[in-house]
Amino acid sequence: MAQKTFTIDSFPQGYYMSWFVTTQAAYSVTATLSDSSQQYFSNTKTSTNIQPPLAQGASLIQGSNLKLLVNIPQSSSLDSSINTYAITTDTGAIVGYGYNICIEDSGDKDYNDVAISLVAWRNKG
Amino acid sequence: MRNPRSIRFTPEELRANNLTVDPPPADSLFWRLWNACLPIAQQALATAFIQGINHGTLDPVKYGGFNVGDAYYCFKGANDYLAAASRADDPVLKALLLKKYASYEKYNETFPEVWHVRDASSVVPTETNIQYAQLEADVASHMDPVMCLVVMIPCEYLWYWLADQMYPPQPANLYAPWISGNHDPSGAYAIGNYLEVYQKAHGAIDYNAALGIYTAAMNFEKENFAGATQVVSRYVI
Repeated sequence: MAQKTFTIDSFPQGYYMSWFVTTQAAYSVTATLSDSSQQYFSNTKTSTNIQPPLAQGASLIQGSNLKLLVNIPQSSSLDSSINTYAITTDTGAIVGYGYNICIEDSGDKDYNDVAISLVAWRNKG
Repeated sequence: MRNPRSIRFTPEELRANNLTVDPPPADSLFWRLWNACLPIAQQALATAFIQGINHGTLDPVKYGGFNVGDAYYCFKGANDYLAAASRADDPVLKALLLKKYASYEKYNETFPEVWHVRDASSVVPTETNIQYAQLEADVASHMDPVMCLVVMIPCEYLWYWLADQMYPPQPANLYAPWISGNHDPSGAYAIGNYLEVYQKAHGAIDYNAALGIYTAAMNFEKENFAGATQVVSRYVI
């Protein structure tokens, strides 16, 4: 049984956040995004077909300690490739942040079993 | 003047995380790794770049080129330490990784104004810049997050050690602020001491794995200095 928690430390409270989560996994995958104020989503999917996404949506970040929990009970261990980034203006000012997390749940090392894209902007609309 | 590139802890942060900036114990992982790589540090000291800083004779164009290349590493580094922090369970380890991230973020804010570099994509990196940043990215993503402290120490301590070999600088040396600004090992010592605390709580860190990462980082540091003066200048006055 394997699960991993990723803390999303660069997303400030009050930013506007979007999420997009896909899976291509034979195992059952549950992903949960939450913070101190609420749970934004908690969905489960079991399919090697990338469609439909496990989750997609957007919300204002209302609490602190934002974290993403990925639970794959049939997997013995999870590995992840994580890319974080800042969204900058033409002058280098930071106006948002992002995470791309790609997870390997078995041994073929294609890191496509779960893919999570999280983006948070200072402004909405 | 202190070097904003390196990590510095406030007294409050030291107290909150039970850290000390005394030199780590003689038999600590910190010194075992450093002693094993001392020849690489001496090679870095002998580079034309560092000796140019020592004697105030370094071509400012090459100093500038080095700093722009370093921007690539620092922009990438911020993202890597944030990625590692996202996986860290130990609260002090997480705090240290986020401190390093914040330190880079603050330093990186100076690049647009000082060097007119917006982000990593604005830089034409050297192969060493690319490989060094990739090493940190690989450690941050795939290895135990504590290994990010191991890969961080060469950046933190080597620059101090180099400055210490040249300290105090001649007041007329153009690069005296570089020497004085790097002449503070407190951040590196705090990390070294924490590694001992961490191992007592979580078990011994694999020395050979740590040495492999540390040696690679030390070599990239040295190659960065060595490459900075090997570039053929197209700048003609």
